[in-house]
Amino acid sequence: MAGNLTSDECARLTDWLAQQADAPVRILATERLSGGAIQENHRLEIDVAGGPWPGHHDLVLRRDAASAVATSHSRAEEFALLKAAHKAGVTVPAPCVLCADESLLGGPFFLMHCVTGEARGGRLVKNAPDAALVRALGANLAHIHSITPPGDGLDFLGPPPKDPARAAVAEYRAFLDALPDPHPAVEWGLAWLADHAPAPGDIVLCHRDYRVGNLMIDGGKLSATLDWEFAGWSDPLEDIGWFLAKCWRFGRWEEEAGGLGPRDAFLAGYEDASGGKIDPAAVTYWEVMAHVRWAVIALQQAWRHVSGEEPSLELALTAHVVPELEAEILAMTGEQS
Amino acid sequence: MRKRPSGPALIEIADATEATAAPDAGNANYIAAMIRNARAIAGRQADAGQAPEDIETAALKTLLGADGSLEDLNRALAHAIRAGNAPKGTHAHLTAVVRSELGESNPRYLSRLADDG
Repeated sequence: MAGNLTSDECARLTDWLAQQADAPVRILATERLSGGAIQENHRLEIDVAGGPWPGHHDLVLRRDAASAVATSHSRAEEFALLKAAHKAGVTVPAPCVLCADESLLGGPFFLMHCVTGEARGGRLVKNAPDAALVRALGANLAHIHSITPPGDGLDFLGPPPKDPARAAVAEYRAFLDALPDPHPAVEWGLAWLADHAPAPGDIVLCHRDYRVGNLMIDGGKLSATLDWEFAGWSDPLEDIGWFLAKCWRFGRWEEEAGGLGPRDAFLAGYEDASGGKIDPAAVTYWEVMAHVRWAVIALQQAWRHVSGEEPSLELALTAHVVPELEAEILAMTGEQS
Repeated sequence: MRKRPSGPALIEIADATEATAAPDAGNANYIAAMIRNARAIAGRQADAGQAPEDIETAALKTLLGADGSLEDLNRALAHAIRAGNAPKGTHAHLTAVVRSELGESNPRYLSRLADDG
């Protein structure tokens, strides 16, 4: 299962779509979209002749790629997350229908509406700073956080953690222990996080990769929240700290909300939509956590190259982002561990 | 302690990537930039030579009051930090080491940090 949809796959898909739409369906065009080593996205233009959804539809079909690894949520789980998010008012590609029958395309897939825009952080930070945009990004995050355990159809996320900060510290220490080289600067950050862990608060649905790069922007407006593969129950401040962390500003450090606009506007948008107040000191804690988490992930990615598991220049270079993260961790934590 | 892959291993993957890169690929510019970056890091590491790791080893011996290889000393420091027994001067030591590594991996980032005070 790889590459473009075959004519056989399109024929089976046409029949299945006609059943779903309760009307004749024609596939007008298909196109494999770029990106996605783990999931494949195909643009699918269809015409439905009657039934409850008549007319022309511009859709995206998402399925596992041939090289898929069983690390992230399944397509069925991702579809459930998209549905829950869409219902909660989060800006996402509207989910249409899931197909769990693997006989059609060799694996499960789902359809969602096609959304356009620019997601690349390096491009977006070249635009003028935009307080209204980051305000909307804050409000959008608050909508995600309005989803609370157990959620609707989200049982697969498992039980919510009792103490997300300490659970994260334990998890990242275990990840470091699985790597062969010692990393004392990252350990310094983890010791600080253990010493300064906040009392557990509310637990909500967190995206866990909510940052510039995973947000599609079209004409200065948010058009889609992408990449739900790490979503899970956590402290809402985890997402806020991740979004605001200096390592996700794509070099435009002075615009503290993802390099796109001012921090205050992002937090004001979040507070207005959630009705709650954000404690700035608590956000700082989770910004340290963000740098530590990214450092640990970067070291894991680099090790996939060094160990020979997956030779890749991109993975190899990820190791050399770590000193930047370590410098920020040491600057934020100061002398006293 | 330099992150792996460093030096020759970094050049090796850059060379292998260049040998198999398709010049008309949609991400050809991105690949070329990664190859340049890898060679630049390896070049700065070669210019600095053994000195940064010798300095780091000596500093760790003083900090920990112990002897051993660079890797063993860093492992001992990592254990001490996790156990809550980081020796006085650990933060300054780590900051010096990280700045030295940043000078090799991303000197522009280091100079921006200095400009920000």
